[in-house]
Amino acid sequence: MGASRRYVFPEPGDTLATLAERVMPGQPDAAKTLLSWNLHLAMRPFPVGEPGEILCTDVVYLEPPTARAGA
Amino acid sequence: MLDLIIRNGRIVDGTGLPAYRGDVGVAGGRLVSVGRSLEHATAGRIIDAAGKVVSPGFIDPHTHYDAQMCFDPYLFPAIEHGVTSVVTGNCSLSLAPVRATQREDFSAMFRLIEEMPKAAFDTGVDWRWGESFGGMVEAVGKDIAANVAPLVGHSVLRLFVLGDNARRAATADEVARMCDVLRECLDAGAVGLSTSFIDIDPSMHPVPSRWAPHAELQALCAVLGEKGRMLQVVHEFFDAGLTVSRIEMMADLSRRYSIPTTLSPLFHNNTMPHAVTQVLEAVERAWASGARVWPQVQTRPIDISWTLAERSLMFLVIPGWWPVLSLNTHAEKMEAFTDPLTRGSLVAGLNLLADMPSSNLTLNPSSYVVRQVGSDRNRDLVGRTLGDIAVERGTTPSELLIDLSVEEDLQTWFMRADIGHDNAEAVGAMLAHPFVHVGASDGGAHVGSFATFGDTGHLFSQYVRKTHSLRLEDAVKKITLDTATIWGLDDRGVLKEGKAADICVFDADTIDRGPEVASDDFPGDAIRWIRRQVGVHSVIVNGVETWSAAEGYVAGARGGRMITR
Repeated sequence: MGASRRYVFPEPGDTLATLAERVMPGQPDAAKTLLSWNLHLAMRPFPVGEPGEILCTDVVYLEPPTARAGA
Repeated sequence: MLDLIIRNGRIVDGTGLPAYRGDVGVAGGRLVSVGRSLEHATAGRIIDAAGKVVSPGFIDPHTHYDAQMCFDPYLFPAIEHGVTSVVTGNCSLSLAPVRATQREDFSAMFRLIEEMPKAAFDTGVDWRWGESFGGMVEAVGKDIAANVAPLVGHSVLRLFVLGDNARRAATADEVARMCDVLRECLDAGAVGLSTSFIDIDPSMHPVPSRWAPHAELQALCAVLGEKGRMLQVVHEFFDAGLTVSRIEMMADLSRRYSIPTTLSPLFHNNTMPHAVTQVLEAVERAWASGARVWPQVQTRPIDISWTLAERSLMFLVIPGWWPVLSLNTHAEKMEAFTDPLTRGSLVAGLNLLADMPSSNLTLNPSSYVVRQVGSDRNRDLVGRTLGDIAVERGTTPSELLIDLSVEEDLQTWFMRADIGHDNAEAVGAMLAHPFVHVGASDGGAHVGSFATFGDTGHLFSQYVRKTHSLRLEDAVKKITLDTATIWGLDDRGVLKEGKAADICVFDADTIDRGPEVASDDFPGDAIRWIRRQVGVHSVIVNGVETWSAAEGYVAGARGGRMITR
């Protein structure tokens, strides 16, 4: 079954920055780019802790949203 | 001699096959005759079902009767709607296993998420079973009028094993211990595990299940796989993209561990009609890949009632509101609502909703309706929108909400009806979809916000009789044999000789949900919203007539049992 949009779950201890470093190694502004693809993490009504902190159950997308025909 | 004969009914047996006329015989809590003439047989009780449908009792797969079943064996008024079996323990929250030292923390979490008044919970839940899941199954099963199929909550499991600090990843030993405890719960009869990806606890932090690494969920699903039990998920239902990703995650778990999975709720939204299409396409892909992923869809439209005297989940994410509504005393709330600075900030927060046309739930304050007033002089406001009254009074709807409440000492009730999931044609098509599981009633929860009763009657009145989205037989199948099959409740959901005698006798032309009315029957002084049945004739649980239109709830009827697999 093909995933409609690639994602990963964070590992214990991950922040958005450490996750970005792992999934987008060497890419400048990786954390910012990752956050821009995951606005649900930036916009959540109840932050989970320090800025950039993420949960192991968070869906973290590895690519931007796909355009949907007719949407 | 039989215990019960139901004569001359129109038998809709739960399989989806066409209805036919016949008799049904019951003995020892079981169906002993279905369809054959029992004209010459005798029984302790005979029900004349001429002109009525005789169907299996309805099964409600998403409820939170966990608390109510401790103090109300009838789950009032669920049974009178034809519901004979319920699944409890959804959304990561079950009443066991809970350590005695963690009861208050758990209770606060349950009361917040499921909107259960503190007085009702504290008075009604006596923890008579101690801590264990098996103890709870045994204790509740001794005094229950409906069948209960309990899930184990993932958040509860984490609290039990990790202790008070469950906002972290578990160690390998702790994961192993959780697997052992889950296995014990399944052995004691749990029908599966529930988990949540969205809920928060009273400290506004994610509930324990949301701190679990995916490997932990996989380990627990492996245990479910040993017995083929269900994984229930409450997901980011307000975001179609995330819902699709959760479906893909669940499909992977389903295939990997050979388990059924279900997610709830799935709503239709007129402002984003393509979202449902996108989600159902993902479900279809999941099934095509060999997975079992059942999205649950409720039959009723979304509406919410509230008073500013109590906190309501509707205000959870509106800036400034939650801390005020969570204040401990009435006086503190009144002081906050009359403080110009706080009032200004609350009005600003509410005004944000007016500018959110693409919100998943349209909550513009101008559309709120005054439902009930606390003083006679405002009686003419009942039924009018805040937008309408605000124009008349030269104010704004947001300001009016606060000012009217303060004027009436916070006794005013407001309502927003048909917030979403109210497009009958679209919802009907969803309910008829072969991969859609009809459920998500939330029975027993959100008691001050909306009535969770009568979704089954609404299925027939709205989607069989009005929109013709489903045939009568298909609608019955959706809430009986389909549900029993999905959850592995092999003894139920079908009128077949040898099966448990859970039966509903109803009038197909009139069955419906009654109007939403206030009820003060719960312990404590808070009111809740309920709906009484319309068009139901008799409800039988394991052969015991438990409710009838003629006599109401039968005193002492305790035909229910814990459905342990």
